[in-house]
Amino acid sequence: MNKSRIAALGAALVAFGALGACTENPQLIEGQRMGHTVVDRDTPPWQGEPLPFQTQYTRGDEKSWEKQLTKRVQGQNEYIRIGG
Amino acid sequence: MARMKFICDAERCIECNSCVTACKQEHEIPWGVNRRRVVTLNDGQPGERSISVACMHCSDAPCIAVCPVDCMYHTDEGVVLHDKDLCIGCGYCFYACPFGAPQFPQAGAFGLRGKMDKCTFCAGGPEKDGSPEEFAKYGRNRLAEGKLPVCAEMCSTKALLGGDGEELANIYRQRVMARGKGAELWGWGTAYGPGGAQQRKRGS
Repeated sequence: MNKSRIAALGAALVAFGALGACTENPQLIEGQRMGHTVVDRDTPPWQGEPLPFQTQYTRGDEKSWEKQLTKRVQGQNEYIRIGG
Repeated sequence: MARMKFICDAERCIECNSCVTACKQEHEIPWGVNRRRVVTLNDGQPGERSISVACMHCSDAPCIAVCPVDCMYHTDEGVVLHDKDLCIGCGYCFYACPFGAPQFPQAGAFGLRGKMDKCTFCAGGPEKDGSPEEFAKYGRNRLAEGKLPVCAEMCSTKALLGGDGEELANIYRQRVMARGKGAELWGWGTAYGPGGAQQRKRGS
């Protein structure tokens, strides 16, 4: 009885060890989420330290960045540029 | 929140290729890779039209849907970017893209492909904004500098426009009203769907 118990326990341990090889390690890097299209690791363009060639907007201020981009977009509108 | 888009006005494009040159120069694009190119239809025939084509940063981007390693993503501004650290260069995105935007540098003999490269709307990649690592992988991050894509800003005839979709639509509408023709926007419906200009935010 005792022997059969030990044998069963041993078999269970072997089975547990064998099944351990069936696990799958996560293959995602930190911040990445499968099934979504947004990678969290990317920061919004207006955030961060001031850049050497940045235009006149306050880094970190989204409204300031958007205002600057609107100004640049309107720079492509020659009806405004030449007053036509 | 701005929703970044491109417009190419076929009535204005003169096939000067300055957008292509500006892009290659700004991002130091390697030989054999063209993030932007000019396509001419009916070359030499009456009714010839040219359009400048690159990644259109689609609202429902098929490249994102097919990428097996999920390396592509939308930013909050609607720009489609990718992570070169994850890309395996399988080429699925190239087959899915209706504009032929993804480019693959040759990485060795027998046509071995490198990691995918494409237009980033001058928005860099996941690396720190303005860092040398970002520049080496994705080119300059003009968006973080408060600028628009260099191809659009360099366009001599302003055929190529880049920026917030609603503002671009207003500029284009004013232009079409002034000249009285050429309201068709090639690729606009494919990239942004019907009523694309109204899609202000992702998911709306």
